[in-house]
Amino acid sequence: MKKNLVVLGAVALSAAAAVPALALENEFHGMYRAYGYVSNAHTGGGTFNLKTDGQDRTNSYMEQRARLQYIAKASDDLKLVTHFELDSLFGGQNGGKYTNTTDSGSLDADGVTLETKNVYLDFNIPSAPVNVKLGVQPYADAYMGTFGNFDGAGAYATGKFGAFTPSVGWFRVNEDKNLAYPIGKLTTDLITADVKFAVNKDVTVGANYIYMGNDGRTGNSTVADAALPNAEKVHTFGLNASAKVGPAALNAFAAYQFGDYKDATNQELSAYAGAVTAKIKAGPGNVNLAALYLSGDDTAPAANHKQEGWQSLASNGTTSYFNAANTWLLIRNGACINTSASIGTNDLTKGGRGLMGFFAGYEGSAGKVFYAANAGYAQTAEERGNEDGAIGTEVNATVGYKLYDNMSASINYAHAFLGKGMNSTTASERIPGGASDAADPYAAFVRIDYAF
Amino acid sequence: MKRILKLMAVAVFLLAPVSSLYAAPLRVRLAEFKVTGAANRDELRGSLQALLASRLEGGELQVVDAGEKADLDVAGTYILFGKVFSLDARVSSSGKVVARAFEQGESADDTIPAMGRLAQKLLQEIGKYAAKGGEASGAAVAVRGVQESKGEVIRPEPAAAKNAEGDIIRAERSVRAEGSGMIGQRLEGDLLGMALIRRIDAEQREIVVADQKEIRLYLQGKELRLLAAEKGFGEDENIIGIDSADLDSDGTAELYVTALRGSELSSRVYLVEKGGLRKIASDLPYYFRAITIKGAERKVLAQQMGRDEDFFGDLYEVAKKGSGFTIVNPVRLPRFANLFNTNIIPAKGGGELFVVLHPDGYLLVYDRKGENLWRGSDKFGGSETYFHREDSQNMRVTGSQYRKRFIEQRLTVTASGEVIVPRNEGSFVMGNSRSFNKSSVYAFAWNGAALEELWHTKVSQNYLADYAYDQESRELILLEVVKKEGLGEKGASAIAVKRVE
Repeated sequence: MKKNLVVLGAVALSAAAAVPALALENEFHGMYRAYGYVSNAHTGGGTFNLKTDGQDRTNSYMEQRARLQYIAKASDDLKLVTHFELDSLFGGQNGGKYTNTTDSGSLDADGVTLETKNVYLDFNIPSAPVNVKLGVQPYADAYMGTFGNFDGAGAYATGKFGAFTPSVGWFRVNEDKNLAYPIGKLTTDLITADVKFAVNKDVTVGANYIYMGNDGRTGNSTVADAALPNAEKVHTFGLNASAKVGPAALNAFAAYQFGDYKDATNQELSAYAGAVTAKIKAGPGNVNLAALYLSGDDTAPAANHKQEGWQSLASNGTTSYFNAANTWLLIRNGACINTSASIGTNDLTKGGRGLMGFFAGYEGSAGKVFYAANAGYAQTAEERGNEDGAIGTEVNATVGYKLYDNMSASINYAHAFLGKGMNSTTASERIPGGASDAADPYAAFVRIDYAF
Repeated sequence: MKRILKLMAVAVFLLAPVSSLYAAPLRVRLAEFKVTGAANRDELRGSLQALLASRLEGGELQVVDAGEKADLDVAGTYILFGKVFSLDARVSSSGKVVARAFEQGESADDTIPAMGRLAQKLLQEIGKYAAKGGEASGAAVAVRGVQESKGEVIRPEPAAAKNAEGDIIRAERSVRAEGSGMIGQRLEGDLLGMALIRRIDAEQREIVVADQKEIRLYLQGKELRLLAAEKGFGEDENIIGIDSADLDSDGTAELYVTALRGSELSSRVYLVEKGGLRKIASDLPYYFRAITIKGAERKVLAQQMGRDEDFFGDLYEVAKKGSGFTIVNPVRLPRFANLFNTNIIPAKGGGELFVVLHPDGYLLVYDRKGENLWRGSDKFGGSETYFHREDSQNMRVTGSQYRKRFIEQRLTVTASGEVIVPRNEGSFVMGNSRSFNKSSVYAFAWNGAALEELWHTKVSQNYLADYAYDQESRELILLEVVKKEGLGEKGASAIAVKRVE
């Protein structure tokens, strides 16, 4: 009898093995991107170093990034989204986040490279047109990234009610682990509320609110986190619109910020920002135009001074973008990977001075060949003391070939003509990030893309 | 003398089996395999049947088709437990089992060798049965092994060996075809769309095919003759679909070309007249798809593109007024539905239902209120045609300034209410990377509670880009890509015509 049971058990196990383990729908996506750079400013380590003319050095290096996304779908209404990233500098690097090991670009490739990008649960509320995302997820602000586009831990709910698409969210982007305080006491949190209304197929308008509460700026924090915002409490209200007008696709936003700047005495905040972009059909391609304004302050932060500089979520610009610029040196490009740096750091606010930029370009294709050429000018919105706010003018060009449906290769060149604020030999005329008699930065690079 | 007698005896012994070759062969009818525990059951049923047939076929046995008379019937099953499989076969004559045989293996790699061994066993068993005089035709059958020259290579059966019953496999029934129905003529390019313009006579029809930049009008008979071509699409313009109808009933068909310029819709309409194409409208902000309602009324449906949504709002009918086009009669679509993955079927007891192809490939049926009535469990559809939308807001996550939006294979509803849906499969299909290399077409009927399969075509070794269904002749006109475009290599396509019996 016992033997029979054993046999039955073995049969049951075999049958179980023959049945699919779980009724999951598996979805995979991914991308691979590699750059080969020759540049006098990019270093491969994420910094942008202006060199004094005559001491100009040429760096040459290759780097790569792969992303793998696995989505486990339990049903049409429930799925787990995971997204990972693997970066490597050819030859390896061991600074920064690779303190205890190298990345996988070094000899024998044994470094620890796998990074978490997203891990979140995505589900629909039964019997309600509401979707919820819970976990580490991507967030894009309604200000074209000038406040913050990031991956963060939080919860985000989006409804769909006819032409209205409202959403609310909460993100905890920093948690101070000082054990002298309860967990959850010294945190940086975001609360967002957004609504979009599709007026018709050609016009969508929206309104957005973001509250950022930064308890880490109360003076009690013992964690020096470069990603912390400068401000303590910031309320940001904005309006945005997207429209198709004749041959042009237009996008615009305007936003106002107020709140408490820092923990010092009576530093209130009052700032604003706006941008407009246009993609206009012309000939075999499109003309791209963009203008950006972030308000600035001509006075450094001080007690009893109302700050008028636009605030980004991360004061060092880690999470700030303006992809419509289509530049590589003035403002980092959205397609950057490890070399994600620009003149005077990625901080679009330029240390509170604000930014004013104008950008224009043309892109098109001919068969499998694609091409683009862009130009842009940027300066600070305000100048402090004797400073000269001119950052510079960039021109860049791309020519690429689509090798396969999902794979392309391109050669690119970007060159910036530095403004006086970046290369003046007089220290008081320079803005942060500038260097005396700095050579104009350039970057020539090849790029390989594969995505699935 | 003794030596001569010995030689004669040896010669008679050696020649004896040869004499059997001149005897009438046994006629064997082979049913589709029953498949348990394996994925791709539908495909395996026919494939295993074909494998066994090619190994049994020979001088002593003639494998006949389902509708023909036979001396013996062979039924096979394929059962998979974990990685171990078993092939079992039963031979019967007039309903009486006369022989059985089986073979097993431990991985899919062993399937074809096991099938060879099974065929050999069956031949021996059938030989024994025939030697006993059985109930067969009395023909002498010599036991033979599987021909070594065939090895593990399965050669496509020559067209002459197939009868002309059509290329359709009825559910639980195998019907062989007269070849693949493919017109042996390569059409240049990875074509992506086709539309049936009109039927000229029983042998000929006008069809239009398209790739991303070009439309071609062909006269399709036993071969294809190019009548006209339209190449007036710019570098940033891409065609994603073509459809035809005669909305104003003037006897001249219009060709509705869904195209995008950059990321925005810029569709066109042509008149197909005098063996040529004449553009009558351009830069229309609509996606188009033509469907036949209740087998008679041909309508063109349209949907629009939104700023954020790829398919914005309701479905509309297109109305032609002179040379102008407007959209009327909005219809609210159910969940997952858009213009390209939806059709309308008659409901039992009147009314209409939506049949929708889910983004993951499952067939769905909804009522007009949007309530889901049924969901299938097999995957269908699969298309390599897509368009780009600007998506720089998510560039940080996706790595690309644009995102791909694939459009789905067309669903056709016939005059009798059958739902025709293609199925593409491939080894290199993952995420947004799609390269299908096998296809077949299925038909279903709504029984009031579920969609039931009626028939499907044999698997083709090509990606099916698009198809049309000729209601009058009950023929499928399939546009297959026979050679994918590669680095420095042009693609090629072909037309196949299959009759639905």
